[in-house]
Amino acid sequence: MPVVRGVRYDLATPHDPDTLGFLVLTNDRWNAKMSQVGVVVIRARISAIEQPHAVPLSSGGFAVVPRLVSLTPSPDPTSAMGAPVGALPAAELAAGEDRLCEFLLMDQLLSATPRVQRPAAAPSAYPMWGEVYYAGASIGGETKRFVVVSPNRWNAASGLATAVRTTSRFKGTLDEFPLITRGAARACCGDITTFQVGAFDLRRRHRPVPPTTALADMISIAKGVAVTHELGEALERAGLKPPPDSLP
Amino acid sequence: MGRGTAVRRLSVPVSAVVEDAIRHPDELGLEKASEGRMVAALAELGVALVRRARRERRQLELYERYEQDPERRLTSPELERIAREGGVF
Repeated sequence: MPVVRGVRYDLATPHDPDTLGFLVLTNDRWNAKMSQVGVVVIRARISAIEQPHAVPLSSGGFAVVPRLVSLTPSPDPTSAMGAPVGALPAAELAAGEDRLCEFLLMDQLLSATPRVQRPAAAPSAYPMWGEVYYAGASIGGETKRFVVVSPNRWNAASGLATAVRTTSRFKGTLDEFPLITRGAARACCGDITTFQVGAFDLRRRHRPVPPTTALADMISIAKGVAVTHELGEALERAGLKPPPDSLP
Repeated sequence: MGRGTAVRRLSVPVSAVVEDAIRHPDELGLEKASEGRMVAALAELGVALVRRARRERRQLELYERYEQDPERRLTSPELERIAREGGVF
């Protein structure tokens, strides 16, 4: 049975004592077809830096939106996701969606006059918003490229950063796979995931070409994530125009 | 029917399904509407549904193709492992 958006799932196998479960956010077409789904981690406790980005849940714990990951759901034996606990109350789901839109700077990117301030710091200090990095181990002989989409203040202080994988092979033509970096690659918005900062290769000589994105690329990625994670209603609540496929 | 929308009058046959629907305006939430307005409202709803169905079909086809993508099949479990081992969850 496919997982369902807006439903809380238990943690199947404990890895971190503070993780209680997951809230599914990817749209239900994605959930029906894909072997990984987009979730927000539900934690028992939150740090001070997580507090502005977390939603307390009446069923216990906090949905921590910067801990956005792509997970294999059960019944896969390796799955971290367990059984469904129940649908989140509408107000809590809406609050989670709103926090996620804010965290991903959608209020700035999808406004009528998009503008995001890029810091003067070197992109080797920590993974920076809008920059492209190699991350993770080599897979099939190549290391994957990621565009960082989490805000710099978070990336610098939390030890985590959220990013979208890019591909030059898959030819998706909808908003979920926007062409970026002057057509050199597509962003796989449904695979948005969070890593420890140490997973990104920050060394200057090890940066991909091109090493950065344009504002238009980041706007396209924001629209793509709005579709894959069905954030259209949250964008409307924020007074923004949502992409058509981002509404339920 | 949206306010300010230009309206063109058409005389078109309606099926028994539509005729039956306009005999029960309460089921449509259109109790005070004329027959013409009810048919127009149903037509607008139909347009929205057809557009949505077409969009969703395109999404489903795309997601199915992406699910089969060899690069994704290799990469996704690895990204999950990195996130887990990095203490994200």
